Amino acid sequence: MTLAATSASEPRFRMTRSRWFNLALLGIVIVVLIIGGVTQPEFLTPDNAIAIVRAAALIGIAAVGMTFITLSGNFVSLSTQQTAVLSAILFAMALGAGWSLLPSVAVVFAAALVLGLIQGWFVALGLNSIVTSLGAGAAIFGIANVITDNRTVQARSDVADFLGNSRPLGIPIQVWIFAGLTAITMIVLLKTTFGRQVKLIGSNRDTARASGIRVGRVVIWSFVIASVFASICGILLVAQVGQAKVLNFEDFNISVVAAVLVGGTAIQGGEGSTLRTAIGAIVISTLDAYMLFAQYETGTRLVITGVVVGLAVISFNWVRTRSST
Amino acid sequence: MTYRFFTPAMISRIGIVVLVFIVFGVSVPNFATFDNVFAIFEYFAFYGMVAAGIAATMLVGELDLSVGSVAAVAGIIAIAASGLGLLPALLIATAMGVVYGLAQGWIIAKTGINSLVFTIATLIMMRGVAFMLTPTAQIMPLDRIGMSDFLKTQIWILSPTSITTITIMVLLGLFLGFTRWGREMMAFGGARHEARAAGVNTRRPIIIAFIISGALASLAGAIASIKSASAAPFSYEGLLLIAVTAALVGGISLYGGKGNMFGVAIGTLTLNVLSAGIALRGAAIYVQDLATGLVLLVVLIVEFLTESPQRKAWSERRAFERQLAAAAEAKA
Repeated sequence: MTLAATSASEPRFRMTRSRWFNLALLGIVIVVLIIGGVTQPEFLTPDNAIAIVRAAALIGIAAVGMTFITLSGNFVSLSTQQTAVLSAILFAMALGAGWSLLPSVAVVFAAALVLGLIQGWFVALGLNSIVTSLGAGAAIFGIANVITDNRTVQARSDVADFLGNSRPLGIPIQVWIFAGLTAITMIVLLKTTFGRQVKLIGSNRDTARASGIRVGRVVIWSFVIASVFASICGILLVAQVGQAKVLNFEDFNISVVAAVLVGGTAIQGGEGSTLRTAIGAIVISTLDAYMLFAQYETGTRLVITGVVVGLAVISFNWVRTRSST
Repeated sequence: MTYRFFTPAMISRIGIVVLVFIVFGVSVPNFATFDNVFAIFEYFAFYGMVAAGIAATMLVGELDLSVGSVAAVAGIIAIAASGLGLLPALLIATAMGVVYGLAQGWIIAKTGINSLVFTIATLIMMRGVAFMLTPTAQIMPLDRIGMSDFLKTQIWILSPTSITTITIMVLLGLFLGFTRWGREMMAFGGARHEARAAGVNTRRPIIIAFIISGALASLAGAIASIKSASAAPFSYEGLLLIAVTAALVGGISLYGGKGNMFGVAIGTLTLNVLSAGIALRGAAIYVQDLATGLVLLVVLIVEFLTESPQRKAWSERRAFERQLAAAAEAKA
């Protein structure tokens, strides 16, 4: 009887732990929005809401890409910011040289692909991902500096204007792209062989290897995805503001890592999703937007962000270790 | 266990630093001068101290990414406490680092959270603390003008700062090599499971390592701020990259348990000679960053080829596959 009962109830919607997490994260967003709306009446105006989602979209796109690295058991990348900066500069230069949109995007993607391949190959060999991306980030940033010589690169923004400033159905295009990429990556993770391989090598590398998965190749592709997604952020920024400089994307690494960690993707790999990262990005950006709006000092904002990330990491870890033993 | 300094690998490291120095000395005017060597040792004093702390965390198989933010906080505390005199100001700043390291190490040891991830959170937080401590979020000047004079005293090519760093490295080396707690750290880093099975305390090594890295990053930040007579909340952001690279160049293994403080000193010196050479050629600061990043990647590959357990597993697997192929061929 019990057997029949359980198997009958199996397909029905159940509140799994991960669904509780998603709900809790959305709860935090709603609480922040309510506090913001009550204490700062202008916080919930359409203009401000659009500014928030636009900021969330850029962080979210990069974080969704980085989720593949985290899921594959390689923690995070610390070269996202630098990749976005270099991509923005390359894109602005291509547009400024009179190239049309598609070739410019293609060049930026190709560069990001190479950067991702190199870092992914290093990590696939068995090198530490954090230290590799730290070194790669410094090198990429150095290259960006050498290319621009500390000058701002002007792009002919009208070519790419619709990528930066259009609003289909009243919602900024960046948000559409963010939502689209989140949906696509969710399908990739849940329905494709590659997506399942990423999760398997994150949760049990030896099993993955024993079952014939080419672990190195999967790791390399997760770094390529992260790198290309970071370059999309660079492209979108240039499309929006029409110029690029090395000081763009300040503190981007921190926000992106924070989004992944707050989203609750397991830092040891294997468990998590890009949807959760997307929600994490919205949480971080809403929090940040509110603190900026309420004119918190830089220090207070950083401390609160740091504490939120730390608590998220500790509590996710606590829940997981308790449930596994 | 005999304690050997001059292993072949260490001799080649010393060879590299001498070689780099000679190359720059011949090719760059004003490089091989007394003043420049003194300047190199001043940089060595600062980066070496932080690298020694990071090395302690690497030896137990962890990594403290928060050193830059902690150094910034310590610098501000030291300037704020400068009214009490030089030594108390430095001690207060270092005490902050000890308490911070203790808390951070305890959380990491207790929860088992990977320090690479956890210290990203503390890195953000401490940077925030640095901003909170400076009311205008701007540079804090040191009011007592004469205070930094002592730190700038020149003793041959050394200074009080570089002597401090060398002393700390020697003491830390002795601690790691010859005391029970220090050797526990080395054993724990080299083989965590075996060390645990042999009855080594599993929390103490991690906590001590993070105390050391917190304290040394703080002392370095405090000394540097007083010496330059100012502290800013946004300073020392590039510190982590240089310190990790220095430790790796010096042969501290990211896989834990391998390396010594003498190597850290040589590694730091190598990087400082390199960046001094680049700077004296008149290249922009970002070229030094680029060079450091590339050195880090090269060292990672070298370390991988020589040290890493993954590499060993990989070559064993390759050998096994080759055997299988040979067996299949023989059958056919």
